[in-house]
Amino acid sequence: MRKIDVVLLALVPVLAVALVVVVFGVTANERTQGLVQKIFYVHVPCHFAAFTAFGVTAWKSFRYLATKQLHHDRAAAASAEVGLLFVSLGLLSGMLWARPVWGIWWTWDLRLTTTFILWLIFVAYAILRRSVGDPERRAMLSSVVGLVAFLDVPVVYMANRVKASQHPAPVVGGDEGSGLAPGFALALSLGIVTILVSYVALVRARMRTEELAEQVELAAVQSSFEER
Amino acid sequence: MPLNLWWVVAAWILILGGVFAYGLAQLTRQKRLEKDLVRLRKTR
Repeated sequence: MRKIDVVLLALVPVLAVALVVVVFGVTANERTQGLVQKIFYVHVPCHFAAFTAFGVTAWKSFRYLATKQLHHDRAAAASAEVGLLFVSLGLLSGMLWARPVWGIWWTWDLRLTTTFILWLIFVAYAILRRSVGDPERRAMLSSVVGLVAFLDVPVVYMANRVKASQHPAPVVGGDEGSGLAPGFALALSLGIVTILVSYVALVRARMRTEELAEQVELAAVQSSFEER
Repeated sequence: MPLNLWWVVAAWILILGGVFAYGLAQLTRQKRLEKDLVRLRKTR
């Protein structure tokens, strides 16, 4: 394992502990929701990381289509898988937040529905990758899907900006009057940094796993030829 | 413990646990693949 990967993987628990200390030890409770609002500091970063991940997938898919170099496809696939992890965690943490605050686990409002569609698209992307055996055909098909799938990201982002919904209006980058108190903004920033570092560490780990799997496959083919 | 705290604890454990579990799964798989690679290269 490369030194940078060890550093990144070691940084994740350090940042996670710092985030817990800042959110639960330093940041005040929000006035209306109280303690349960602290889910915000991990829920929002999960979606932020998922959007970043799907953006990277789209860019790497485009690079594959332009150059036909398989390492771009590997990066796109790793980013999509980690993005799917984060959008799943974002949806589940949102449900755990919705239950005490709204009294329901889920509602089909625009924000939630478009996020669920995004989740479904990347589940389909994962299924597609597992069902095509030929690496070049798999890369071609999944690059097209990875590129088109990104179109849902701005739709999710705009969903509660263009139409009032059950999901709260955005507190960051929203209308006039939106925004966070400095203490809350600091905790959210640390949450975003923690989750983004986790994203980079996990994508690099996933790519390393894929590289090793390909080496094992190649070695197995070579040894079976030599046995004949 | 107040009821609200359980929701917060559950969400935080889910997210941090999910990240660590995925990372650990990758590292475990890498170890297994490295062993396979060494074994396959030895048999050649």
